[in-house]
Amino acid sequence: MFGFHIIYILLALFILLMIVTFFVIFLLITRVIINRRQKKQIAFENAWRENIFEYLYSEQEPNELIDRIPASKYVYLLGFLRDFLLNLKGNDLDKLARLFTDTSLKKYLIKRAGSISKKKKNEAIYFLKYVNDDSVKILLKKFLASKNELIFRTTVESLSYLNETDIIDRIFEFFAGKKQFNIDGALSMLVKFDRSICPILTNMLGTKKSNDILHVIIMILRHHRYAEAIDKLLPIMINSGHKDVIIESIKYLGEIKDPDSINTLRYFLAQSKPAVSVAAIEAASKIGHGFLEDIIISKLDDRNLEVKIAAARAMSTYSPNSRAKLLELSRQNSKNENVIIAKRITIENSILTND
Amino acid sequence: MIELLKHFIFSYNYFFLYYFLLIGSIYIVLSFLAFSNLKKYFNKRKYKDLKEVFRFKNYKSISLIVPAYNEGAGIISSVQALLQQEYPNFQIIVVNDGSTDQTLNILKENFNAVEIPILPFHKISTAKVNAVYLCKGYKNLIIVDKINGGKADAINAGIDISENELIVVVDADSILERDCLLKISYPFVEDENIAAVGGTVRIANGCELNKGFITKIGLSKSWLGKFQVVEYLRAFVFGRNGLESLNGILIVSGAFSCFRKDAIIEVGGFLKGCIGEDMEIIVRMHELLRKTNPASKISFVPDAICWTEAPENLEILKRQRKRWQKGTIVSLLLHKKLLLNPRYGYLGMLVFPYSVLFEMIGPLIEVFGYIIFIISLILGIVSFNFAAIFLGVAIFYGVILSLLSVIFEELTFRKYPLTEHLLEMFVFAILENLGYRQFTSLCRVVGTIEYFFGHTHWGVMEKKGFSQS
Repeated sequence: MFGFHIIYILLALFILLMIVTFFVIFLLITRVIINRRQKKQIAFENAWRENIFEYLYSEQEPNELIDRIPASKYVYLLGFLRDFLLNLKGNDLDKLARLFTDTSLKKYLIKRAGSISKKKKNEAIYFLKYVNDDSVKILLKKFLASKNELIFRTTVESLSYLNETDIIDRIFEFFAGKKQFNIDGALSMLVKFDRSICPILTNMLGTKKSNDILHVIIMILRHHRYAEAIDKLLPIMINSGHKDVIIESIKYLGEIKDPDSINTLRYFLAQSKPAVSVAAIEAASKIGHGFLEDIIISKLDDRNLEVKIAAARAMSTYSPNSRAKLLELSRQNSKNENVIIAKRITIENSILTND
Repeated sequence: MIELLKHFIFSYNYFFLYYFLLIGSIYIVLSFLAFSNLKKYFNKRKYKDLKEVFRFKNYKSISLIVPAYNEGAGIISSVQALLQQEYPNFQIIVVNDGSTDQTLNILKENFNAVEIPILPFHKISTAKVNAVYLCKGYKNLIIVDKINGGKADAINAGIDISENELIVVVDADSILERDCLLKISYPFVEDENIAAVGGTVRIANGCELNKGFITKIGLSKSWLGKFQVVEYLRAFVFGRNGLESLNGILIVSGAFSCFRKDAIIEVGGFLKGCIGEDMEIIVRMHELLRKTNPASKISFVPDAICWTEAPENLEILKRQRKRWQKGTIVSLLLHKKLLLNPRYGYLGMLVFPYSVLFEMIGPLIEVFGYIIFIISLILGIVSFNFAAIFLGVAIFYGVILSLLSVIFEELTFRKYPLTEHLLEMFVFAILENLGYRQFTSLCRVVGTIEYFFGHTHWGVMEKKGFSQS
């Protein structure tokens, strides 16, 4: 009877040993495979680095180089080119990008983009942006229908690299379809387009009703300091009741530094919402010109401490008069809030400017 | 009466067996989820240049808060290393939490600190702040000196004076890799629904250090250190990763985590005096933020790695585990309304009940189970067959799960370059199930008892320090 139990225990131990052995073998094989892959990448780079640099700095045609590299090594070529493509600029980047145009590398990527493996598909979409021809743009736009977020994001990145601004609506649509609109998500995609996106977004200002979308659009316009949007934006900010839209619009005014917008800022400085007042003070401080000096100084007596601090910060740079008043206040020997704030801002400025 | 007792012992053994089967099966499911999540993350990272945020200027500004209590010995090298983080817009706020050593003076002298007036403005209330200092020559360094109020209070004081969008909390003795801020802040760039992000914590014992950075990764020489390497791998590589796919992360490590500042202020900051402040705030964030934004998320970045020193002494390890257990109990009891609440999705229906059953009560069931099992064997209440099956399940699952975590490490991070390290971790993944795991469960039981009998203090954590190359 006892022997019978021993057999069970030995069997269990044997199974455990088998599993452990399997895991160890699996682990070692994995390590060998990954190491081999890395060695192959290094071997490729050692063998082809000079040829690629020679191509880069000579009159050589792309096909002359690509045709010499076996198709089985393209995966290593992509691995090698990735960092160069990220870091090179101007003619060097153009020359390197031509390796993808009208060479067998393009066909390789198009085929890979059709793969069922998301990893391969994603890699192909990432590199196809360097091909830059209409057929590829059409192919890439098809991937915008993908429900997979990784594929969608990589496709948008490739198309934004190519500055294909007609996909902007699709980006908004993608985020509007989510449980909650993701402002930062949309922003992180739109920020990659160049300034030519601005007229399109400006036109959208009149048509888009969603406050989240308006918020994103104004952020991008501010990012590019696109002053031409001001006429369309002013009525929106005046009539909008949405705090974030108003604040973002005020920040936009500060960024484009348009002296004509001072009256608009005066209007918002008169409002009681602290966050709006803070944004308006900061924008006024950026624009300068001194016209709002009295209002900014008066904001030091606001009930809200954030507004007071913003006003003191603005006073330190706004005009010689406001600066003098802040300095005078900071020299007073009092425990009054305004005096403490003035002292803090003055000392902060002296330490940071001496740095 | 004796018969009744025997019947109870007999039934408990079966209950214990099923308990182990259930927990093991849950971990296996979690490991699949973690693997899929990790695969997705690394596929994304392969063709993602995080530094693009510098080019497009859409990064978030960061305040890195370092609560410091009696950290005089290492605080200078820690701050100097943190100042070298690769990130364009960050400030470091070191909060001296009423240290009784020379922490404050050392900081003031080394960084040319100049006192500035304290603003009469508070977003979060804290113990009294004595002074705030800016540092000449270090534009992005602020030192705060306050009356001792505990770690949570010190972090709150840092949040209170911070003016940036994100808050990163780092322990004074943590070692961050140079691109950690970039990695941990990136999820916020792409998703405004993310309220907090946790990083991975690894054991630095046995690693070599130079000027506050890890220069050579190694394994601890002590048994305890090696056990903890495997244990941390299991917790971070598949615990956090698996739970992230269910939006069910209930804790981000207090040694390295990142928060959206407006979210942290919305929930009222860290809970002063709370032992498990890092878990409590996350559970509170789930509870409060999801009311206003159902898409609110807690995320995890597996390759934002922070290295920390692990205790290599049983007594200190015991204190640490007791503290963790008390923290878990506080966090779960304070937010019990999440339990089986469908409003919180997977978190309320699966993750929270799982945490109550396996994290809070689990150690009690486990340790009690081992005692009952031994009594049963002595009294001959259970058969030898049952004993074999029981031990098989209890150890078998544990071994497989620990081994899987080492395999996941190899398939994803590959932080340990030497094959001998890998094989050593394998050995310790097996051995940790034969005593170490049971020891930590016992510590947690003691922690539970102490909690319910009112011993809720932190306990002292002595540290040995790292070897410098």
